[in-house]
Amino acid sequence: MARHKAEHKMAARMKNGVAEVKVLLSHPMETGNRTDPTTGLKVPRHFIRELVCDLNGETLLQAQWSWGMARNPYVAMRLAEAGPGDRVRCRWTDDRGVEDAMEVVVT
Amino acid sequence: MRRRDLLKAGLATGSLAVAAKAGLLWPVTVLASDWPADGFSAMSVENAMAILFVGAPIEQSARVQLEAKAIAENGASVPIAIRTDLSGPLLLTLFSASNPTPAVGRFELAPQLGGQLDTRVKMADSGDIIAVVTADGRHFSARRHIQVAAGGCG
Repeated sequence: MARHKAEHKMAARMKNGVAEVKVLLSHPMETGNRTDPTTGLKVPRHFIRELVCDLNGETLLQAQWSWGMARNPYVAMRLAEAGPGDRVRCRWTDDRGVEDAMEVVVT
Repeated sequence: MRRRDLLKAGLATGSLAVAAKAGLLWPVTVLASDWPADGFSAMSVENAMAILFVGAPIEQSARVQLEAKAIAENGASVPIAIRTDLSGPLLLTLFSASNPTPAVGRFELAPQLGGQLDTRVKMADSGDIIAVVTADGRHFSARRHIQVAAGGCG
């Protein structure tokens, strides 16, 4: 499977006793409806289909998406049972079989 | 029973919700099966819901809160926040009614997320965003109209 090369951003910080996790993925999330202004051609649909995030290996979030999610998709969640040093990991795959994974340690 | 069969059965009967409550199924997911191509391709909210919720009733409920600004500057990326006091493993399904295909995505939330999720969706035009939270096999919804200054699906 191809691996995605773009930059993703992920942060997990304690705030008021809860770990705030923010995930910003780098992906065009093309709907397939958009016309390229230069070529006049339709830009093919291209989107993340699935995202899974876990905390120390236990699943937190499992998402299935359409192309209706925003470009560079963003997800934020609050983890009541996480603390400093815990690892949050997310991985995604898109409709072309591209995938990537990232990890952050709660601080 | 294979997981997928269990999921199908659970959706209809609520037996899965009981099992989930007992902690038997977590972290095995609540409702996920294959990526729902038919639901995501449906061209109206009604059709998408009929497919994704298999015709089950959806109840508008104050137990689901959908927070967003009344006016979105850019329909390509509209921030929304979902809050619910429903407990247990939850399934959140989002719709953007003005999109050519309104179903945006579905999210299985572990109990420790506390019924909170923030994300960003596309809106082709001004319209409703609808959040449906499935808990114990029942579907609860919140709806919010958002005015879009510049559409996001062109």
